[in-house]
Amino acid sequence: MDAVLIVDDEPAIREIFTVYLEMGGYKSLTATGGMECLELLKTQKPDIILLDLMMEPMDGLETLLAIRHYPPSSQIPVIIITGKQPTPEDILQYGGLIENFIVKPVDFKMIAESFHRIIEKNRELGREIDRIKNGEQDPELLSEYTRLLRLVRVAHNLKKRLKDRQWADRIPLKKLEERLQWLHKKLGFTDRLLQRDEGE
Amino acid sequence: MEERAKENERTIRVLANAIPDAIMLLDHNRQIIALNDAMARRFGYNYTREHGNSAIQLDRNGMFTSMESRIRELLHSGRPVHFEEKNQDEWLEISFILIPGSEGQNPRFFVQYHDITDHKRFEEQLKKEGITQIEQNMEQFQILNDQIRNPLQAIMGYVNLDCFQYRERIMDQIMMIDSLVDRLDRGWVESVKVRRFLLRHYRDNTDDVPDPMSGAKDGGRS
Repeated sequence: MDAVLIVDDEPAIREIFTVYLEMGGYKSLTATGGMECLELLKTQKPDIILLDLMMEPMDGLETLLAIRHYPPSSQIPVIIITGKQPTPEDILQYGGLIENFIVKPVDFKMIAESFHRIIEKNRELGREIDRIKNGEQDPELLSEYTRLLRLVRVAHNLKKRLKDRQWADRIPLKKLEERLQWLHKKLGFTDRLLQRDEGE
Repeated sequence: MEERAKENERTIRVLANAIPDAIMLLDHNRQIIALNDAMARRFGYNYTREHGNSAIQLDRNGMFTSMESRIRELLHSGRPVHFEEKNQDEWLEISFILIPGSEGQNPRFFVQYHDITDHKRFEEQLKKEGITQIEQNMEQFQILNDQIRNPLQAIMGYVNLDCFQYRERIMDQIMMIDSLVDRLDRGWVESVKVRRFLLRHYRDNTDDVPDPMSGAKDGGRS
């Protein structure tokens, strides 16, 4: 059973997400803030983390960086789910560290259904990286690839959902995709990594 | 007659030196015909000794020389020219006024430097306070929007769980509130642009969109 860690300071959000996750066949873990999340990661290894942004005293972005810095959690997929509308700066700066950026309110049942696919894709990416690492590929290129893979996916999802947003034009998606495609071919990854599923 | 002329000159000199602005009268070749003490101090020369010298030659920091295009504009159009110029730490409002020559004579022009440094500093202070206020408003916008969307998310979740009779209507209401918050978001995006503009032009601190090809450094998986 895949485990999902919900990090949100709102008790009602934790409660309702827990209900939906358990209905969707996940084991749910909860943390009321960034510090508690990091503490929990010392003993637990969830398969995916749902992270709120506007929290005190440690906000979601600080928590995200800490998750990425801590080796046991550095590869766990993170989804930001928040009431704060992202800016292009947010996406460009943090989009490469997350799997998705979701703005509340959302039909959580639908979102939860996508977690299995995200978890599976992340595992596949891990396997592919392990396979490629056996060759003599430049680690910098691998790092850039994984960052761009996430960034392009996040930017695509947001662009699709927020069609009228003024920031959409300020993310050079075409340029990013071209670079991603180039790296993809150069590193010889499976094309499945580039496929985008509905509801992701 | 000569005594009266001298008396007139003394009167004009007293008046010219009584004002804090630096002023001078130049002929069309930029030769100084007259200047007050404030202008002499600005040039760093004694007025009496340098009388008749070229203003351009005395212009050791190049500021006056850089105004040559404005002088040509004045001589061409005949209309007074007013503009602001920053010279190291001071701001000046500079005026060039053409004085037509009498019959057969070339025109002369009057130059006035009015120090507006205090005014400019005050203006910049106001702009900085304006930026601070915008930043505070933006922060409040963000917190409020997040706080409104949290209960919306919770209501949506509970309704979808076990409210069948009125679910559609409640969802419609949730979407209406969300679209109102969306409008606030768009206003916030606008205010981000205003803030970026203010920072770029008034705080000398650019706040550009980061380079997507560099990104956050901790994004690498490998």
